[in-house]
Amino acid sequence: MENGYMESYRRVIRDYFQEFIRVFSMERGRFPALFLVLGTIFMGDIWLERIRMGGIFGNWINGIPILFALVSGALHRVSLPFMMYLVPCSREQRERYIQRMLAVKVTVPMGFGLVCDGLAAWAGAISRYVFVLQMASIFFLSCMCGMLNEGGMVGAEKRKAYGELQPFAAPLLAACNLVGVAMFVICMGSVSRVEFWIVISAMMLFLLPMLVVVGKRWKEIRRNFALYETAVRTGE
Amino acid sequence: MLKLENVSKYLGSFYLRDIFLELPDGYILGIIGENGAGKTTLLRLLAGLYTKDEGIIDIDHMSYEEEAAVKQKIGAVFHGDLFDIRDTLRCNARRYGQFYCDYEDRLMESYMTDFRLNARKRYGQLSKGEKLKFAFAFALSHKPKLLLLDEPAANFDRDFREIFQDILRKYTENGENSVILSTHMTSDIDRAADYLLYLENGRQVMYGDIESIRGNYRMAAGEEYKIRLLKDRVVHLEKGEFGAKALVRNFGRPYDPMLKVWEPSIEELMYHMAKRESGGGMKAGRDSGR
Repeated sequence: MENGYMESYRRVIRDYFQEFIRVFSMERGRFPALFLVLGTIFMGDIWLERIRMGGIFGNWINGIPILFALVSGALHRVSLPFMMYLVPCSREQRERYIQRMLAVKVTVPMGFGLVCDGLAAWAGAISRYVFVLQMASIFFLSCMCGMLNEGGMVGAEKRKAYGELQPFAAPLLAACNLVGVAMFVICMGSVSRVEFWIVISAMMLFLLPMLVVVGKRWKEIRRNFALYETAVRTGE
Repeated sequence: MLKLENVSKYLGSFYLRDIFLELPDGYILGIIGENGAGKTTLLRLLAGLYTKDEGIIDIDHMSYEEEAAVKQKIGAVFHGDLFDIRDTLRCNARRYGQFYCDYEDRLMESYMTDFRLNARKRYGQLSKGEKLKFAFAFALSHKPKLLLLDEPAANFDRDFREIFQDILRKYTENGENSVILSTHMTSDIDRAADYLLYLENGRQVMYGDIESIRGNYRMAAGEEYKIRLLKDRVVHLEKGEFGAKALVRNFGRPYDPMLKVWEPSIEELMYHMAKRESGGGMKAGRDSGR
């Protein structure tokens, strides 16, 4: 076996994108979660006045980077496929894999957002305020889902791998989805300077502490998910 | 080759405890017990999926401190979706085969052909039996020293069970490879296993080589009162319409000539052990091995 192959970035990036292909596998929990997210977005879009003025879906194209981040967050789990716990590799290797997968889960949506929003900003389609809000929310979404998502909110409070965050995992994941949906709707329209500072202040006040709290416990969570026993353990 | 000393594992509502066994190279150990006895838990401990709470697990003079090196020597078959359901069998085999130094793609393809598995079919489209066959083929293709099989034959058709038994026999013939097989099908144990481990509610009730274990017991059938004269040798007695039948420990006084006495099959042994009276129950521990 190639030394370090298991946790190499080449493998991690390949596995990351392969998960998108598997979305059509109809695995339990993924499709319902995905439809819930998308349904919420489009229902919110239909009923928001400012968007309706721009046509039924308004400038929803501006929200594609956030949509991508939401989908990426919903699809990817922290735990590894079963065989990865069975094949010859150490716990440290599995932890490195999980860590690198988190890096990819954040970097790819951020990169995609940078490219899309960069082009949109250059073309004048979005303001710098929308650009900053989108990038901040993509970062928050990707980090939180990257560290916590293990098949959605249902049953998250029973998952032992979350350690101290066990009772809070479901609300935190719900917050991620709400933020994503809200930002998708906000960024589809124009954002004034005042609106920008209100939203960014709210993010600093509420979302940044959440991210710090989860980030501080990430080492423990990562270690738990690197062991099969704690990755699957629920209840009790 | 495999040694367990006082191994215990606590899993919330279940406690596997005080497991002692020693399996030399080249032999097959059959693990039997009712549902929830701890068979799968023990196999998962050996496969490195669970971490023991107490005791020593020695696999070929290595412990799970060297996890990656130990797992090179182990092939495992469990129920459920072990592989990626969206990928083809060939893709799955190649992806995970890369982790094993001794994995041979050619060998894997050969097994898939022999087991009538379409390498281009997606893993998620396989039936339960086919998934087990694929897992079995993959486990064999990286030539492990220890094969762990968790009730593999339950979903095999009759023809494949013959192939399966044949493979197990050939696999251990070299005297270096060992197999641990958990099963409800005592016929598999009768045919294939050299050693037997009986688990009950997470405890080891019986362990040893099958011939010795069977030699330690007899089935006795006849008049109930004649059987009851055997007193504390009786493990379990079952009354029938025309008399009684009992599992008895084979030592002490000779049997009454009116009793019909024979060596129990594994199935009879397990049936009566599972139903034994609490007063005549066995002590946990080892029966004599080789």
